[in-house]
Amino acid sequence: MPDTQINLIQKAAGGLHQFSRLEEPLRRASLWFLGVLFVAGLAIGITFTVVRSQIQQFEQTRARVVREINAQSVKEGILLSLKERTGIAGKALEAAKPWGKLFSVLSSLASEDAFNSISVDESGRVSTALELSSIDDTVTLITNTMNLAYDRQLRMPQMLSFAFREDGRIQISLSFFPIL
Amino acid sequence: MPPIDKLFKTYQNGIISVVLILFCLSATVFAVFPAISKIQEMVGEVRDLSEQTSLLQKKLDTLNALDEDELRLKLTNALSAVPSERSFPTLFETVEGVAAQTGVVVIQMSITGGATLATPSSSKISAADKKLGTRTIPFTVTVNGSLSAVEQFIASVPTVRRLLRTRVFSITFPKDLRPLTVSMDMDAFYEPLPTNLGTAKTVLPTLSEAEEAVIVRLSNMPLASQGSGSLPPPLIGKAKENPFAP
Repeated sequence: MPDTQINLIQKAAGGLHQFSRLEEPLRRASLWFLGVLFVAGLAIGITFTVVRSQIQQFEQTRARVVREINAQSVKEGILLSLKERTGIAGKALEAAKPWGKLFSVLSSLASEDAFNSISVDESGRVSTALELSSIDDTVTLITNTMNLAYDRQLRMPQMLSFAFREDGRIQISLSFFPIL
Repeated sequence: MPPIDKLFKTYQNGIISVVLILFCLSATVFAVFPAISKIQEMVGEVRDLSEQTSLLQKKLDTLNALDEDELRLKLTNALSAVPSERSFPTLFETVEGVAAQTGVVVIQMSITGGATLATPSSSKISAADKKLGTRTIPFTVTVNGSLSAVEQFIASVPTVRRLLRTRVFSITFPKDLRPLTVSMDMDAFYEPLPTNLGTAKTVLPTLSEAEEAVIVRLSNMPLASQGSGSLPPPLIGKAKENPFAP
């Protein structure tokens, strides 16, 4: 009798056999992946819907508020114009010096009769020409000028000219910057 | 049976699992990640919209709280102090009004500096005016009067609501008895109204304490011009029926 053997056991298939062993873990993994993908998709869908509705809500609110603001554009225009105009008026008020105060400074210098002329230039310098009857009056004038400078009612006082006339009268001109 | 079919049949379950995993991975890469990125963008948009809406709501609340009539009155006062046009009539009226109130006589008055007759907005602003921050109309006025009247005139000029400033002046004391003659170089202020008032999104300005103080100061200033009661109301938001009407 010939020595014949029949092997019913399946032959090992090398790498493919290894693959068949991975089928079950792969199946599980694929289910996990699908589950995670489904949950993620659901979460994304819900979040998207919520955020989208929020955007729509804010856009509607914004459009309403903008409409209401535009309806009050006259009031807004008045307010803007008022602010701009007030700023300009403030600058104009600053630029307008209260020259009326100068006369109290002048009256502190000498009597009204002594003045020949008073002039104020662009820089705010006051130049004045006076005619005085005596040296004593001149000394008083100079003293008064210095006192006013000490009192910070004027600054940079200067004697521009001094003339002693034959008739005994004195002509003097001064300049200073009043502190107004 | 071809070997491929046989192979597929043998490892059908594994192959389907692999395909599913690959599908999930590609879906994650091409759909989930972009969707998350888009949602992040949208959340940023919601934040921006929320901030914008909040700011606009604040602006609306502020506007609702403002009294239009009161604002209009304040603006009318401010415009009578610094008009939007040169307004020569109110300038002459103001000088005459101050002169009448203080007892001096205006003997000469002239506009200097070649004041253009073009519309204020089209006229070029000078360097001096730019430095000052407002446009001016230079003019000269010569008045006669007693020293006290002249003193009062000079003192009153910057206190009336059509804002004026004395730039240069000279007083000559005649040998004989008075009146004195005073020649004054003065400026009157004006500034065209802004033409661009911004959009709804423009932040609404608030008046500072200093500006409120200026408004109060202006409203307390007397109007020296005779025709002051008929000053035109501000034209913002209203169209002139006749654009050539004064």
